[in-house]
Amino acid sequence: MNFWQAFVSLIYPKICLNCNTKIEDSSDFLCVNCQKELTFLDDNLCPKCGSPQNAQNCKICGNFHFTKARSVFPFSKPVRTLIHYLKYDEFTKIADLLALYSYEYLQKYSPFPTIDIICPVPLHKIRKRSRGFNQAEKISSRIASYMGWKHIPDLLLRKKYTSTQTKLSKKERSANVSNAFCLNSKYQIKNRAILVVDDVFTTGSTVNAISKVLEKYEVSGIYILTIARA
Amino acid sequence: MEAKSSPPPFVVIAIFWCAGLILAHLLQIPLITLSLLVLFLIFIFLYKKQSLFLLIIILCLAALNYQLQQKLPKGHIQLILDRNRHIKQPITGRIISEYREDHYILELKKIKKFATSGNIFLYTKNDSLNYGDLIRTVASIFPITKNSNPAAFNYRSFLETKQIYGTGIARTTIQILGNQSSFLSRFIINSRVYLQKQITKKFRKNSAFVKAILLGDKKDLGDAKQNFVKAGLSHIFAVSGLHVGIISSVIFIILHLFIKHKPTIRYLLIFILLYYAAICQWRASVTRAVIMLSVYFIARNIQRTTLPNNILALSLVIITIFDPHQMFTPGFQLSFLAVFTLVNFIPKFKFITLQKTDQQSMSYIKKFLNWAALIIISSLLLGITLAPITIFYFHQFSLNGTIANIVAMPLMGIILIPLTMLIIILPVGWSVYQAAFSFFYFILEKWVTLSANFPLYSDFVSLSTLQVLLLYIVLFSIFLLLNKKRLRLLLGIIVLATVSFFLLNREVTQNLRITFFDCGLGDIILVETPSNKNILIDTGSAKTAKKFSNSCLPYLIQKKIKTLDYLVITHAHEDHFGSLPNVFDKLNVKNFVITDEFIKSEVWQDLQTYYINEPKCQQIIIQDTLQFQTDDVKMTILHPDDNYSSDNINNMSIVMRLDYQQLSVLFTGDLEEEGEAYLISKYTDLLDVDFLKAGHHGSKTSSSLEFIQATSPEYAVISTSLHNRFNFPQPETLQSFSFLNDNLFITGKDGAVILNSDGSSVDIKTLLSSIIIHDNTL
Repeated sequence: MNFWQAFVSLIYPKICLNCNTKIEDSSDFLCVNCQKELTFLDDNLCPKCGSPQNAQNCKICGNFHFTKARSVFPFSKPVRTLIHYLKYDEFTKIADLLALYSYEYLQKYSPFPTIDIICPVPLHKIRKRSRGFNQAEKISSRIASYMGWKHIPDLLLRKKYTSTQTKLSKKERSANVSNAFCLNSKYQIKNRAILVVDDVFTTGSTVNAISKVLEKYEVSGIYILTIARA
Repeated sequence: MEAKSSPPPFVVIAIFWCAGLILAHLLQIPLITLSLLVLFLIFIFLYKKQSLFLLIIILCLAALNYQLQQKLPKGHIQLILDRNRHIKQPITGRIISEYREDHYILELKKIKKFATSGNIFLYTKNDSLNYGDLIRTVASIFPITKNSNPAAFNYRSFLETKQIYGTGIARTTIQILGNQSSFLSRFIINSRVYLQKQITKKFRKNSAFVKAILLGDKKDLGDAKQNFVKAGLSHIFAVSGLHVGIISSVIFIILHLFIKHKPTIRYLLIFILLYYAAICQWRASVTRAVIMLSVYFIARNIQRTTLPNNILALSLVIITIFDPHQMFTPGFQLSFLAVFTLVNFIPKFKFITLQKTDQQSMSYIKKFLNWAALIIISSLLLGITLAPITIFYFHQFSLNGTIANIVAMPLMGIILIPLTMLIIILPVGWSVYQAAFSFFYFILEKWVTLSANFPLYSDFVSLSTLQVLLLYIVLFSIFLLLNKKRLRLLLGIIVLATVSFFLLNREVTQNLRITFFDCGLGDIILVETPSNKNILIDTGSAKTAKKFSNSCLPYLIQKKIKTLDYLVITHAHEDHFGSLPNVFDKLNVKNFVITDEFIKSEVWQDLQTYYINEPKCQQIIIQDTLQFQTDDVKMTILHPDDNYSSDNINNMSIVMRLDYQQLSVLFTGDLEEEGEAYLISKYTDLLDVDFLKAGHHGSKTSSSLEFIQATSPEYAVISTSLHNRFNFPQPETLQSFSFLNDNLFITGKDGAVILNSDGSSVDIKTLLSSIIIHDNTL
């Protein structure tokens, strides 16, 4: 540790975002104990939607229009905290960390076949303006560079401004996002395998609405990767 | 935040830094010793790398910093004024700011042709001087007068913390030689002046309030401030976190309309906030808030979280690097302690500090109740933690803020401050909001007046330094107790500290003490008897800077004397009864002793209104001589009696003799020769005393040689200022008393004269000339 770093950590000592204890190693956001709590979501999942509940006889995935969806982590404490800091406190460096975990996850389980294009779930431009960035885009671009995939951040567009999903029920969410998305007419995607990246999979309304749009363009596969699964 | 294993790093540094400053403040450690010590420690640290050595180096550096900034350079005006009582010389200097009308702060450059330094006040009728002007004039420069009364506000050391060391009066026309100022500092001063003018123009009669809350400029506020203090709302006038927070969020929103990148906005905001702190003249509370917010903004930009205590400690160290004396000012202490309480104590009450997720599911009524509980508990805790400091410095405390803040905080935070900013920022159309501002300010004023009368305010309290420390030990232990660690040790400390606090608070049996206050041209004499009875003889004039409320009242407050057993007004002259309304307002009077001539006089008609408000006060009208005894002290009223009358009011003064065992004192009011002659004709033995208060402020029409002979005092005191239009004390009088040599005291020269006696010996102490006499030959 050089002098400058020592000085900075006097003023800003590194504190675990999740449990507020001092971080002893070189990581930026989580202490050793909280890092250990991060476990990939892998066993006993629904083959299609990746739901950890009702793995055999999934009741929710009948309406889903995507080919396969997977999440890296369950939506519980350390990941939840990280995503919160990423979205609401502009900790964009967390996107790099989450992308790195996603890369490890993809390497370890290879859940998807060959991917032609990777893209994020878009934000409406008003929300992007007020937040300053799209967290899904930050993550997807990093995954793309790790995996060597083609990243098209503006493949999808959000044409309708929708209120925030966090306080709505499943039915309301679905209605809220229907007809919200469209394909950017600049791009041809016929017979391509598309991977859509988002931060959290809650009821799947958002990614399902996107899948419905992609379906119309005769893509070869619609894959969904989210960081966390609620 | 849960309990952490070790305190944040800068908190440790700040503790050692503060310890260094306090040590240097208490002990004068020579600079060379300190510097050598620092070098030695650095050497040890390099040899044996232990962080404790580093912390001790920080401690020493703090002490060194304090000493260096306290040391006056050669030729400093303070050193010159220490040698001469006053100088009149041609001077050159640079205008630093306009303090009041006709009243500038001048940075001295030269006296005659010798280089000098230090700031002084400069009085001149020339109102065209600007910041940075280099001027030349002939000026009389006086030192700031020292404290001449016990417990009085120390104006001299107050100004020293502002680095002002004298008062100058321009005797010739001021010659402007040029302007010597950097662009930046001129820009800041001009901004401040511009804002002041804008505020005066746009807010008119409310401008004093707006200047106080926006610029920290409290000098126009006057008596309005006292109500806010009583209501426990004085924090409104400290430009601090609340103001800086609102101002930066308003600017943030505006900038975000034009700039997309939030980190850029934050860096810009840091510059704007620093500019704002400069406009507010780097007052402790605003500087603290600006540093803390800037450090937070940088944290957001580099994606780090912040520990509130750590950045609080950081801002403390930064401020005291530039000005270590700040640490010993009440404003600084209040500001830091308030934030410390908010950051550490309030989160201990978990039921009011809810998470965002909890709040989403709450109804509006519940949200409001939760918020109200937060305000009540925060205000109460702040009131309690800040009370020792306000008692120590201002002899008052108020917990009324507990209720008052429920209305005042939203009124200020949501309405008045944003509205103020809007009115200031808008170049046109601001007058629309002016009516709204006046309306809400009216509501605030009404609310403040109402809450000032809530019962949780007290203004006759005092604490010693040790007691303040003990109180903080108790408070801090209770705070640690909330962490549920080392319960027994902490409880032990609390009990011990509380017991010692009350031991210190115990009334000590005292001797007879008579204090002749320096109240300018007039009389204020306080007699405290060994059995804790208090007698005040006269109240002094209300028309001088050393009036009762400034000279005598602070002492009464410090001694917690709220009740006068006897108040004697010798006669109907303003320099003896002038502050009577103030006395009735502040104190309870049991017995009010006046003459029947006074009752019949015109002035009494006006004074009566104040007196009527004292229902328990018994009036004793002196028509003839009488005696009253307070346990061990006997007071004999010798004059005026029924057979004597005079057209000269002075000769109708009450003359009293005090006897306490061996000691006798004669108080003569303004009695003149005619009255003196009458007394000589009437009494023989009763006039002979040890200590004489000479009549009529040393006028030659009093203290006739016959009277001095009849009284034959060992000591005498003349209660007068030194330079006045009557030329008191007159040379003839001084000549008559010359046989006393150094045993004649003049309050204007010696300061307050304090006489302390156990009945067989007497100790006399003067406050300005610091004379101490012990005499056991009564």
